[in-house]
Amino acid sequence: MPAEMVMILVGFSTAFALTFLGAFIWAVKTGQFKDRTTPAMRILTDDKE
Amino acid sequence: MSRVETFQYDNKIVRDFSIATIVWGIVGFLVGLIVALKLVFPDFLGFIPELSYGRLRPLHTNAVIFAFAGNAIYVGVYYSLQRLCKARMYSDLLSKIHFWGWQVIIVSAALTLPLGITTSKEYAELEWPIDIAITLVWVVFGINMFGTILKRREKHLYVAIWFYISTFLTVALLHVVNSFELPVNFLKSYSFYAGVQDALVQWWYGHNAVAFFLTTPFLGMMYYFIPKAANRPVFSYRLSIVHFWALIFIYIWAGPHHLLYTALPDWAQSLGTVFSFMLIAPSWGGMINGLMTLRGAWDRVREDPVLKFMVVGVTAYGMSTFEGPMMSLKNVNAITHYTDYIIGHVHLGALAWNGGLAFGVLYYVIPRMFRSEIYSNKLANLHFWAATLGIGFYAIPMYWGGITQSLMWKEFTAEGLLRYPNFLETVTQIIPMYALRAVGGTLYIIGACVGAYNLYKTAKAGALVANEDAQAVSHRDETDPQGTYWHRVLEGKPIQFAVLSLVAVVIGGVVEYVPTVLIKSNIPTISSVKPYTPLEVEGRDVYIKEGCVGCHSQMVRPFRSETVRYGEYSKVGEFVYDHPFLWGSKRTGPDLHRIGGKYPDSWHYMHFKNPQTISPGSIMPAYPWLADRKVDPSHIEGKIITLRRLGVPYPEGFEKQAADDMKSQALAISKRLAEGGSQVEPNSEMVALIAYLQRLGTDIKHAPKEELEGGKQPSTSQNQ
Amino acid sequence: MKVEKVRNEVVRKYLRQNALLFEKQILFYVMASSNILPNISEPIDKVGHTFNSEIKTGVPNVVQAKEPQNHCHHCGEVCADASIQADDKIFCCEGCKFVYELLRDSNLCAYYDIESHAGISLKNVPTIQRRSRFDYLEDEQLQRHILEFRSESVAKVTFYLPQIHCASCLWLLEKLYKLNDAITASRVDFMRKEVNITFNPQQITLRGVVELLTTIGYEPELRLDDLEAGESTGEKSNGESRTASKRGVQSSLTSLYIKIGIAGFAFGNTMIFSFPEYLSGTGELDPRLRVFFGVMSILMALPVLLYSAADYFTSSWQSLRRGHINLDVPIALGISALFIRSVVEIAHGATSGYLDSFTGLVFLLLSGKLFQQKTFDVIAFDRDYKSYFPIAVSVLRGGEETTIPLASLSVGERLFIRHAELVPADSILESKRGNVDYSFVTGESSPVEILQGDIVYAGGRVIGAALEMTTANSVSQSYLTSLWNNDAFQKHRKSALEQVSDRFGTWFTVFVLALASAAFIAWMPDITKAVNAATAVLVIACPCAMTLAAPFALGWAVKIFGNAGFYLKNTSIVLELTRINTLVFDKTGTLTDSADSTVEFCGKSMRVDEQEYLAAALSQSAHPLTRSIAETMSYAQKQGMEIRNYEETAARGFTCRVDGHLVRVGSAEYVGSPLFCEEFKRTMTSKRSVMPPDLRTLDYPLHRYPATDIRKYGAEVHVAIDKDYKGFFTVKPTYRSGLRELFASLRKKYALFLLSGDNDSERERLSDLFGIPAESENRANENRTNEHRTMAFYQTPHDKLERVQELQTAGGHVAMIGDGLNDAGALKQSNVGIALASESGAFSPACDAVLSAEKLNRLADFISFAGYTRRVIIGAFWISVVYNVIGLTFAVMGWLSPLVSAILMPVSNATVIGFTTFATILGAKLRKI
Repeated sequence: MPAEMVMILVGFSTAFALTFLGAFIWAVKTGQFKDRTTPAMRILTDDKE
Repeated sequence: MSRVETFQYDNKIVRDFSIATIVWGIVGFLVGLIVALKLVFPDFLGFIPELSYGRLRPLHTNAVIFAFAGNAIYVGVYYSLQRLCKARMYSDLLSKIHFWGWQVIIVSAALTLPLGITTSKEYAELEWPIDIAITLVWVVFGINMFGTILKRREKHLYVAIWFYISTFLTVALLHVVNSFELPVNFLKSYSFYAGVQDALVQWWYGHNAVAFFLTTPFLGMMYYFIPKAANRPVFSYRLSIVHFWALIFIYIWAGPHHLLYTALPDWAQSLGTVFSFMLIAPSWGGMINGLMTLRGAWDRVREDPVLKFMVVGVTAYGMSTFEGPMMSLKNVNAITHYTDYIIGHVHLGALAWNGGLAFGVLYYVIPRMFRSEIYSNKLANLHFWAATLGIGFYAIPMYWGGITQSLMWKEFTAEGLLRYPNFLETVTQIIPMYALRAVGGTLYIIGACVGAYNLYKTAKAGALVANEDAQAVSHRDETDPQGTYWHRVLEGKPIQFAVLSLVAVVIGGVVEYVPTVLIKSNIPTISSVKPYTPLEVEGRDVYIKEGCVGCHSQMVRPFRSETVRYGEYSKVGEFVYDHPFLWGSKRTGPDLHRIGGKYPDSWHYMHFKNPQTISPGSIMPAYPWLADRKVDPSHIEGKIITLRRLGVPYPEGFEKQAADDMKSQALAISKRLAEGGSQVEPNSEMVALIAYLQRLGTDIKHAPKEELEGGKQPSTSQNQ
Repeated sequence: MKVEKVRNEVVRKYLRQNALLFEKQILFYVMASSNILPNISEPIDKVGHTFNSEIKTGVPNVVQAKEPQNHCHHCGEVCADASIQADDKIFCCEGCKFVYELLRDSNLCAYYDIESHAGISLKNVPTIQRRSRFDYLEDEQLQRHILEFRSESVAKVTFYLPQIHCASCLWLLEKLYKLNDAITASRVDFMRKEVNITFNPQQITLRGVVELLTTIGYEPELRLDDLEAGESTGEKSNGESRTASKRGVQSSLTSLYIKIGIAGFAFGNTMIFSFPEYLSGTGELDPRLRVFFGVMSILMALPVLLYSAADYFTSSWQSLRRGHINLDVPIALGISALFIRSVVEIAHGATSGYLDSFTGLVFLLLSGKLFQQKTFDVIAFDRDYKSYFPIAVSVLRGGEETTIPLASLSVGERLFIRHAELVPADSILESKRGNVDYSFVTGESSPVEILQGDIVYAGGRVIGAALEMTTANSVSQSYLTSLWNNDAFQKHRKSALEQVSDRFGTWFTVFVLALASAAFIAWMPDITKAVNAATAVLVIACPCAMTLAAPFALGWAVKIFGNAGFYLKNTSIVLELTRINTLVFDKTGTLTDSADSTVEFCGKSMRVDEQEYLAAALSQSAHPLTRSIAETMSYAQKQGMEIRNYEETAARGFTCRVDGHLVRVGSAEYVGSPLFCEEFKRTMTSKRSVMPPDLRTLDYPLHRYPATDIRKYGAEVHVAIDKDYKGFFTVKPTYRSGLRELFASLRKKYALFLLSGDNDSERERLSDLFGIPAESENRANENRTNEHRTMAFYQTPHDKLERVQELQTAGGHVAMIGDGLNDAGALKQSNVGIALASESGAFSPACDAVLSAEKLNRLADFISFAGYTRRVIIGAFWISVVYNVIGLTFAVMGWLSPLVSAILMPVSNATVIGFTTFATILGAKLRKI
């Protein structure tokens, strides 16, 4: 039966998803997403010196 | 205290990956063309075993996915990451190791696959030593990427970087989990999982490989290169962030939809469907975001080849991300699965989405790195139109052919008999489509060659700026909260952090504990299902080696049309000794799960010698060499031991007698064949393979009724 | 509230420090702009300051790029000639050229590649107060307020730069380190038009940074309210500073986002773990899996319970401790019921629980919260500081007095503030001395004497002679708002509707709890069903809908009014408007537009010096009539006349000494004995000699009109200089456009009244506006009383006030429409006091609403829209009533699974917010408001 396999996969996937959740929390806390406009414009001029 | 810093972008590595992309791309396409032609002219290059269809198909898929798309990803990442982080790649050495390591892996793949050294798991065919190499090189890539991110000068992580990160982590996980395998010797291993489990893992991998190797990195590239090329900020940066997180949290679960109507439990399938469907939202969000970025810049699109390719790419992304969920609907899937429709679907993705973006990026970076203009916009246009036309010529016939054949499979006469009982009829019907597809492919390749030439001349026109000067202010200084971040959190919010870490730990524990459960509880549910005999094991390995799984499924779905055609539908319990599983994903030829005992050995013999003699018009290639090539009896002992380790209940010491057991069974078969008037060495691969085929799906015949109910699944009710 | 305290302290402190500050300034005149770029001090004179950002903001530069050559390379404005050039590029002004050269020398010319003509034009800059403009930045006190971070070598500051408008701005402002390497980093937030600058205070002062930005055309908009940012707290309150509220909202949002993130994450996963249960046919799901999934679900749900949903528990716990029940109680109960129940069932291995419902509920609840929060910000944000009142201020540009909208008043502008007018921005006094009344700010009504060079703080009210001053700060808009909302001027009247929706929550909660327990008991033997029903009831009951309806609908209404030029002090005014049944109008400056009125003089000829005295005197008063006369006499305006002991009796007249000569201007009674005036008039008319307003011509052509008309000719303003009666001006007002239609529609619904301070010369015209039958006009003298009801003239402010009271006691809900100065009392007394704002800077905190003059003709629509809003609220009420009734019925019957109710509840919530928002906006669209 695939029961154990499902457990493994779910386990892996979840543990994995948790790392992303962590990343998400980090991102929000450090204000990565505070400014949702400027970054998009900033990259346009990144090669102008 | 932050200060202005001057540094240099590494363009050389990007250049190298670009070259690799183009070269491998063309190689991959050519192999594809060859296999396509083989479906029209079965004898084309037929005499060389190493170039037989079954062996080249995986070479094609691997070359396109890992060599072409792979290198393209590295081009995009190494170019954009440096600029987004305002930092040079973490280590030039790692960059070099990554580059050469990856190329070596590709070459080894190009050598081993034609030699029939394969695990037969789609997109993961490479044998264990290469798997390890891949892991190592991937880790190198990871270190290099995170190193760069950590030493970045720009505080904000642009959304593209998030996509890159997710790509790295996920692919690492998928690759490792799916590549659990137990080596028999340096070039042979058996999958750690058996039957359904193996299938589950394989498609969890297969689906997510598509998701995180062929989608997320390219989305990242889309979010960087489209705005750059159009010189417009992305339509909605907010949306792009949502797009990312939604994709991440949904994609990982959608795997099982590749196994609809298989012996996989019903709920797992439905789960797959549900999540595949939820995927439409973020995917289309992404597509719209990409296209809307070009609003008001469509005039630019008309001139700029970069944008042209990307627009086609993004549009194709939208189409295939719509198709995907559609095909995960059970009743749609019932029609499309195992047919060329899937082939059309994946090529729409690969040629248009991945190809489009890859070439778009190349047309963007090459002139900039070489400080030159695109050599000829005419040629670029030629490339573009050849490619687009090619895609059309490829996809449409495949969709058409796929549906046609599927309907023919399912058609019944008024008397309730199959209208096309002979599978071959349904094949010959769509051969013209195969021909058209080959034309499409050819067009695409021509385009690619033109592009290659154009890019070459572009590079020649200028000189590579190996190290590009750049200047930026580092975002770090003592007032930056990030430094004290963890500290603040830990003192600030103890409860939820305790909870979160607890959860993480426990789940980790669960994950570690589960595999031990795995082996011991893995007992067959149908007592009559027995392990394969040594000869059958060898035969199965021949089956794997020749890549039969590329054209023949071993999974009879619970539809009337299939049970009538092939026999009893497949049960979970029948596969418990299949390391690896060989369900297959495409029926260019008929399903083989119930082939055992269907024909006499001699029939198989003739058929392998020359299929056309038995079924005129068959496009199955001849396998004359099977009769001449010998099975090396020295391996069987190791194989038996390995399989026992994996839970196949061979009695202790059986490995010792395995060789003799094998010989005796082989003799019997060759005698029978001789009576049929065909002389075959008993130790030939032919005999072994026949033995395996004759055993296939037969055990269940002597199974007690009630046990069968165990392996039963609800979807039987659906007749189609 | 807190903020106001801070404000008062700040002001008091500065009032004390003035003397000190003054010395400082002198000091800085000397060492002005020592530590900025070489040769800046000179061009600063030219560059000077920014003016309203409209000039460039949002203008797509692409368009300009296409246009021909004669455009300024820097700012893209059309150049008069090609006289100003550099590197064969032409410029519209020296300022632009200078900036170009500056950028070129620091090789920042990409500024012009990214967007062509990206620059901010630096033309027509007033040349006043150059050195002293940024002196106040040297003040330690201020710096400590402004700087976000300060150490030996590092200082951080965030400026608001309204000029930011394109990719070039972004790029340049993040390359500041190339202009001055004392600036170590700079980061732009494009949406907020803010730049965060890190600099080394040892190498450049804050002033230096500001001057650098100013030089390149990005003058920071510094506001005193920015200074409060440090001290004010997170929660929103009117008058709270822009930055502060923004930061507060940000931080609260951040945690909300994370909570939602975690809840959503858990929701998704628990859903996966529950699907097998839902999807599998009976018995097909491996029991081990069920346990596994159950455990996983619990692990997922824990953070949601302990973190994401924490607020609901804490808030309901607090409310319970305070002995009453708030809206969060049922929710808290609901979710805990779900959680506990699920855990129990999992423990028994019966099912894999309802944790997907649980996490889902929390997720959706929080999402609803976010939606609510966001919508509210849209409304509140707008009220806070975007909406500039249509108030105008008089400024002197090159000696010429012009009035400009408050919005476009910028630092360094020379103001001319008259008696009783408010000081709109912190300024430095230019006149020798003057009196300012800070009662609005500090509550101390005794006027403060201010000397030249002192700082006059925004909100102060000029007493006596008009004052000249130079703005040191941009208009502190939110400050004016806060001033407006100052409790002193609140008429605490919560409408029944609001009170209902306030109290409603409690009743409802109690009711729900009762219902839930009832349902539980009813189903009792069947425990599962009982719990199920009870949970469902708790979860689905959604009082929020009802409590949200009012604030949102009203919020939107206020925002819409604001955009339409009708500014309400607070939301309850909207509902107040719906109860209005009586409208009282002031005449002069309200119905009439004193801007263009025909003025004539009737009297003796005057010497030129007399005319000058008169002109000087007239320019002092803010009264509409006086203003329009001063207008026509502007030819006699002369600088540097000394005005002393100015006294104004509202609506009567004023007296003052101009270079020692006593000038008396006002009504007949005020200026001289009325009898004398009558006599004078008779003789004048018998002589049939009337002077044209231009008194220079001593032998004027005779201008004749029938004697009988004189007294009706128009409002009269009598003049006497040094006790010698000179004659009187007649001011013939022109009425604002669209009045006829307006009154036509108003007459139908409301009782209309007129209270005018002037004579009844306009009676005829007005009567048909107010719909009084013609004959009553003839019988005017007989039954005065009868039509006195409708129209009253010669009204003192006090009369007006009493009149309003009268009407109110007669059961009227009165809306008074008048100008801020003379009608202050009446405005305050009336139920809704609407101050009309036109060219006069008269802003009375006493009013409930400010209506920009040209929008007067929309008044009827505005009032009807208020009524509409009320209906919307009631509609929303009904929606949620229906929802709750149906939902609860199903729940009690036990027909609703927790999951369904979990979905329905936030949906209904969002529906109400969505409905109110949509309906209100639609209604406005239909009324073309």
